[in-house]
Formats: sequence, C-alpha cells, structure tokens
Amino acid sequence: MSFALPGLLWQLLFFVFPMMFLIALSFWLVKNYRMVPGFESVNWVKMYTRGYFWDAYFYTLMLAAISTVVTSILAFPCAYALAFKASPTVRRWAMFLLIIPFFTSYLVRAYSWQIFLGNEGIFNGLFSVFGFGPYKMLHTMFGTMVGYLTLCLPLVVVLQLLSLANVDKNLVEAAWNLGCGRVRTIFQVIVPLAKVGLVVAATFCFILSFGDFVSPYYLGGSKPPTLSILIIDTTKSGQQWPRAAVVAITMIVTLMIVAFSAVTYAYARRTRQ
Amino acid sequence: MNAPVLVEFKDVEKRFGDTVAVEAMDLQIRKGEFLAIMGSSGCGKTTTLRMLAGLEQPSAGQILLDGKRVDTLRPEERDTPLVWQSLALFPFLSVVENVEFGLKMRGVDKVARRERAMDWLGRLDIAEFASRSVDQLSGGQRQRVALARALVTTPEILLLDEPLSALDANLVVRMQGVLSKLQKDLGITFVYVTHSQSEAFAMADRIVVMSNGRVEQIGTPEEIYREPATRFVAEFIGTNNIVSGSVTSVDDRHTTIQGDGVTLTATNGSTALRVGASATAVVSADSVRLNAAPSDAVNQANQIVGTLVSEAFVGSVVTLLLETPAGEFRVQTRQRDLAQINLEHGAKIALSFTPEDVFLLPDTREGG
Amino acid sequence: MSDRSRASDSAISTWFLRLYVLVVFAFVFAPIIASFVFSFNSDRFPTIPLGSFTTKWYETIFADTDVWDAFARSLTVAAITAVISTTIGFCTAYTDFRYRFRGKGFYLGLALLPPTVPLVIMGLAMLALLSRINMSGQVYSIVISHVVLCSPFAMAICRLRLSQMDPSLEAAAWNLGASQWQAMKTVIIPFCKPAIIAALCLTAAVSFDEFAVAWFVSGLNKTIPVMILEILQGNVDPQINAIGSFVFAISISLVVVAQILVMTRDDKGRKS
Repeated sequence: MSFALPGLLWQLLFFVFPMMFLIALSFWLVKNYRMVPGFESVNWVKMYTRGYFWDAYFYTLMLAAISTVVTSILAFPCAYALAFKASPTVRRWAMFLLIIPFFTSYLVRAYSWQIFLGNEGIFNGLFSVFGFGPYKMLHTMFGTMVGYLTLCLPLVVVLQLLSLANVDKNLVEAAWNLGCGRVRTIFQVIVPLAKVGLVVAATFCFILSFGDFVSPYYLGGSKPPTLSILIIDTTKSGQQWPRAAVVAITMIVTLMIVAFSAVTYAYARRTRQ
Repeated sequence: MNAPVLVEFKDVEKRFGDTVAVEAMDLQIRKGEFLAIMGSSGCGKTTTLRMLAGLEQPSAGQILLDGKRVDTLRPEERDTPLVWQSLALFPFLSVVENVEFGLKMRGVDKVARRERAMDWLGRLDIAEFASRSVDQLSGGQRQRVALARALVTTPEILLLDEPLSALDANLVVRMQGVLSKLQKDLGITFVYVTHSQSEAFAMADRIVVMSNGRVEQIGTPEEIYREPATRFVAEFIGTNNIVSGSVTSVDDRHTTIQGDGVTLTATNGSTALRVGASATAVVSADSVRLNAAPSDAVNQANQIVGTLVSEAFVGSVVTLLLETPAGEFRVQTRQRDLAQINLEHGAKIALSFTPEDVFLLPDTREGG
Repeated sequence: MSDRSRASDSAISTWFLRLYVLVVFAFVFAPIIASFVFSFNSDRFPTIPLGSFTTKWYETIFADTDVWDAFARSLTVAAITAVISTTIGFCTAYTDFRYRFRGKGFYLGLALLPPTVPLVIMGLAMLALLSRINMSGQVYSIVISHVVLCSPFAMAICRLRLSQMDPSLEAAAWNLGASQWQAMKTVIIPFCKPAIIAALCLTAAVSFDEFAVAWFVSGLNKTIPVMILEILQGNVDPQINAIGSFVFAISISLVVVAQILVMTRDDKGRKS
C-alpha cells in the first residue's frame, strides 16, 4: 500500500490544503494592504451585495452555457462522421491530430485569432476584397466564442468520438431493420446510447469555458468581465485576495452543482409510467 | 409443398474486398415455411440473411420479395424484421417501448401502438414485465421481447440469426417449442440461421446447408440426413460414418464398393455408378447394429469388425467410437440394446448394416 | 427509390460530412499554422497578402537574454515536473490496479480531480497558500503546482497500460520466488515502460505550456508561457509567433514521441 502514499500526500498537501485555505482566506480581513487572519463575513457580504459581481456571474454562466451548446452541436457531426463513416486508420489519425492542440499553447492560438479577427485582420482583409465589411469580430461575444471553441472543440470531438465509437453497431442496424430512417436513427438510438459520453463531453466544455480567462479577455475584450477576470483583477491589482477567494469558491460550488446535475442526468434511468 | 414463392435469390453474389462471402446463390423461400440455413461459421449463412434484410448489398444478382426487387431498397424500407444473435434490444427503452419501436417508426399513434405491443407481450407470456428495463430480464425473457419486437408489425417473414446461441441447453429446447408453435400459428415464413444441427432438424421444414459461400444442399431434414448431396453435407452431419472406396460391381439392385479392408453393398440410388468409379459410402451412426464379435468374425460385405475405443452416454443414447480398418466408426444405440455386449476397451465388436442403410455418393473432385 | 437516387443520396451526405470534418480540422489547425506562417512574415500587422520572408522575429528572441532565461526555466520546470508527476502517477495507477480498500473512490477522485478545477482558481489557491508560507515566487513553486496538475494525466496513461496487463503475471513472478520489489522491477515496470516514457513526455508538454497557475505563483521567475501572456497584454507583437512556434515545435515533438511509443507497443501487442 506504500504506493498509495506519494499521490495521497502530494494531493492533500498541495491540492486539498490550498483549496481549504482558500475557504479560510475568504473570511480574513485586509488591513493596510496586509491580510489579517480572522473570521469575518465582510468579504462575502461585500461581494454578494455588489451588482457587478452578479452581472459577472450570470454573464459567465451564460457564456459557458452558450459555449457548451454551440461546441457540442458543432462537434457532433464531426465525431459522428469519424465514428461511423471513417476507416479505423483515418479514425486513429484524426484522434492523434485532435490531441495535438491540447499540447500547443492556447495563448498563441488565441493571439493567432486576434490576427484573423481584428478590424484590420485577415478576415476583414479578405472581406474587403469582395466589398464587404469591415465587421467587428474581435472584442465581441463572437470573438469569445471563437476562443472557447478553440479551447474546447478538439476535446469535445474526442470525447464524443470515444463514446460514439462504443455504440453497438447491431443496435443501429436493428433500428434500420425496424423501419427507422438514417437521420431518425441518430436521434432515436445513437444519441441515447452515447448519452453518458455526450454529457461528459459537454460538462468538460462547460468547466473549461466557465474557468477560462484568455478568450473573454483577449478575444472578447473583457466587456463585461467574467468571474475569472474578476479574480485576476482582484488579485493582481491589490491585496484583495479574500474577495478573490469569495469569487473562486462561488465558481467551484457552481461547477460542482453543474457537474453533479450532469452526471445525475447522464446516468438517470428514464422513469416509467 | 407447393406454396407460392415469397423470397427469391437470383444468382446472388457478395464479396468483401477479395473474399467471396456468398457465391452464385439461387434460392427460393416459400410462403409459410420454416427454412433453416445451416453451416459452420464463415460459410455465408449470416451474410445471406443480412442481404435479405438489406444490411448488406449484394455485389451481383437480385433478391425478390413477393415478386418485387428489394436489393435496391434500404433496410428501413423493407419489412424484414430480424431477431439478432445479440438480440440488440435497446437498453435505454423499457420492454414495452422496445416492442413499440417498429410501430412508432411506421407512424402508428401512441394509444394503438401501446395496445398492439401489450397484446404481443401477452401472447409471449411476458406482459407482466412491460415496464421493466430490458437488463432486468432473464435470457429467455429477453428472447421473447426480441421476438415480440420483430413480430409486432405483422410481417410476412421473420429472420432469425442464431437467436438461441446464448441460451443454456434446457432453455434452447423450450424456445424451440415456442418458435415452432409461433410459426405454425402465424403461418408466416421463418428464415432461421444456425450452426446447430439439432435446432435446424427440430424446427425446420427445409434446410439449406452452406459451405464456403455456396449452397451444398437444399432439402427436408430427412433428405439431408439420409441422402446427403455432397461429401461435405455427409461430414457436416456429425453422426455419419464415411468410407471412401471404388465400385467393384453393379447389378440391377445393388452396388458394391471396396474400401480399405471393407466391402460395402448399397441399394442403388438415383445416381448410377460405373464399375471402377470412386465413391463415398455414408452410413448413419444410428443404423449400425452391434454384435459381440466371435473370435472368428471377419470383415465381409456390410460387416466390419472394430475395436472399442470409447463410449459416451447422453441420457438413454450411447455413442460408441470404434477403430476399424476403414477408420473411426461411430455407432449410436440405446443403452438397453447394449446389455449383451462387452464394453471393455479393446473389445472386438462386429458392426453390420443393411444395404438400405448404405448411401452412396459419387466422388466429385471439387467436393473432396 | 431507385438504385441510382439511393447511391447519389448517400454520396451527397457522405461528401457533406467529409467536408464538415475538414472544416472542423481547418478551424482547429488554422491558428496553429497561421502562427507558424506569421512568425516568418515581415509585417508587424499581418494581412493577406503576406509581406516578405524574414527571420528577424526569431533573431530578436534569440538575442534576448530574458527569453533564454525563461526558456531554461521552463525546461527545468518541465523536466522536474515530468519526473515527479510520472512517479506519483505511476504509483497511484498501480495502487488502483492492485489494491481494493475502503475509501478508494475518494482516493481516486483526489488523484484525478485537479484538472477539472479552473486554472485561475488553482493559481489563486496556490499563490495564497505558498506566499503565506514564503514559498511563492520560486521555481519550485511552479513545480509544486504543475505536479498537482500533471500527475492525473500520468496516472491515466499508466493505468491504461496496466489494464492491458494480465493481473496474474505479477502473481506468477511471486510464485516463482520474486519479492514484491523484484516483481515490480522485473515485471511491472518493464511492461509499463512505454506508458512511463509517454507519461514523462506528456506531463513535460503540459507543464511546458501551462501559463495560468505559473503566472500566479512564479513571481519574477517567468516561464516562457508567462512571458507570452505578458507580451500579449501589450500590443500586437509578432515575437509571440516566433516564441510560440518554437515552443510548439518542442511540445509537439514530446507529444509525437509519446504517441509513437504508445502506438508501436499497441501494434506489437496486437500481433502477438
């Protein structure tokens, strides 16, 4: 059992403990730009009574929800094609290519999109050749979404692909055999069979989008700021770490609720009448 | 026997890349018959069934259902429900929802389809499980759900792909009864793919024996058993003894062949053989008589002396394996007929059979 | 429906799906390829058509000692992180493979959860704690945090490999007189070697690219990604493309090496 110890110790010391400390920190006070240990609810009250906090909260929630829906929908035909139409060789290569972005700098990719999306960027340059535009894409919600897609799409396609590839082909053929058309089979049979994987993919997409600060900041222009940006601003420009901790805990709790509901939904047996 | 033809395969061929799965298949399936397609794995029997259901496209030839070409139709455009080896029940649907599926696809309204599904569950004695999830059922119950799901649209034909292979032996016999009765009651065509002789012989009106993508023989169980068309069929029916030899004499009633140290005389069949031609004699294991061999017993026409190697008892039936000059011989008999025979290993036993029980096959080079 | 219309029907949908897959891959790879292309483009504000070919951005960064310092630091962090997190990941994977115990679910949750926590929050928590005990702003502060993030990946890779192993192999070694350590050294670790090397490469790549937590805890000891982040906050600067492409080349070679190791071993396993 000594093999269990290294992981246990490291994660307790440097993962669980810091998270616990974050909770404690949210009750501390800041006096003369110094943090003082204590047990005061002032940070919670201050943050929760500010309009801008709730604006940021619901805006972040909305962005992450839109990102989840958009990414899942855009990823599905791709994952479906790779799972059901592609040869095993093509599928393996696709998988390999989809893992690559995971290890390339997300920052550099976001910067690249700035070059594409800017008012004088490549897309608007192309549009102007045909007499359109310029369209404002950078520093809009569209820009944020492009960033979220960059972050989430490869992962969501991979996760959807894995669960679709596990779908029993017999059941698909059984549906055709019973008179179910191709498109209808996707919704009546394939999606229910792959439900757990699809929900897990969507959940990861939500978690990534909800916590990301690069896209809403560099591509979305931080107008209005999201919760992550709020944490950075609060931490970096001053000593209001306890308030940042309040935001962080709120985010974690939200994510836990979302993840828990998603898992419950994914594994729920349909109730029978 | 003269029921109209429901399904017709016309010179159908199916290739997967370089391998030929089904070759030059001509097959007529009649209305209301129980047809079994039998063969070892990879013989093309399942591919044949899948082509009929539209899950594979023939590479050449035509398939007609009720006189209309169906090989160009998508599977969902045909009414050829299939009962799968894996059953392929939808795990995310309840029992009754599984059964309703085909009706839902045909646009039957909610009330009517629930009623028809419940009716079928009742006919198969599983109405009480209607609202269960399929993984809460036993193997036999799941089998019945699969049947109900396939039959609920009242098709003219039902395809079954080794549906009993996952069940234990007792249940297989029970389900055979259920299937036979169902087919008789409904009067529709069953096409039943199996590798199991006992299933095919127990239920089918006619049997198609396939090997390497080709049809070896089509006939009633009796014909397949007593008059195998090819050496393959004779060997495939596991209870046959096969002796190769050459024809030594032919008269107007009997043909005699000489094998390795044995002489067999057979009643003339439909195929005339000439002296000197090579032939295969088939003697089914249950038509061999046993006598304790007297010390002076010799091999003579239709009598072979063998040495007992092993015996196996299944219920009241005994299968003896004997070493003879013509190779291994298998004998099936009832246990009580063995009373006077010495069953010690190494005992000499004389095997005899009548000319009526010897079936002669002309040797064809390709059949060998 | 006639034969012909059925064929053209599915041809159209197949064609459409293929095109769609290509569009998705184009979207995924456009920023990566563009960054590489622009790193050789002379214009400060890149547009189509491209300016002339130049290596000046690379010359600028290679002449910059800050970049070299950050690069060396990134490499150090990545290497140490890879070794520690792979060790931890392997041990955790082996624990999961070998033992059953009360609270295993909790243990595995702990081992696999960190990547699901937003990096900003992780960064804040690490910064808050480490600065409290005067351990922030150091190279090892980054390593500590990166190990938390990376060991779950190492664990997953090693666990996958272990699940391909016949559990009785180890028992057979014991049965032949090997001690637990000898069995580990002669059976388990050789069997897991490709996974261990893959885990080393992948965790190094993850650490080498990580910017958010590093940004919080690194203080003045910037790594390359933190440097990119800070340049990004300024103006358009093609240096990013040059640094990015350079970093990309390193990460991708790590990933490719890992992938090849995992794949070749898979093929061998399939053949035997």
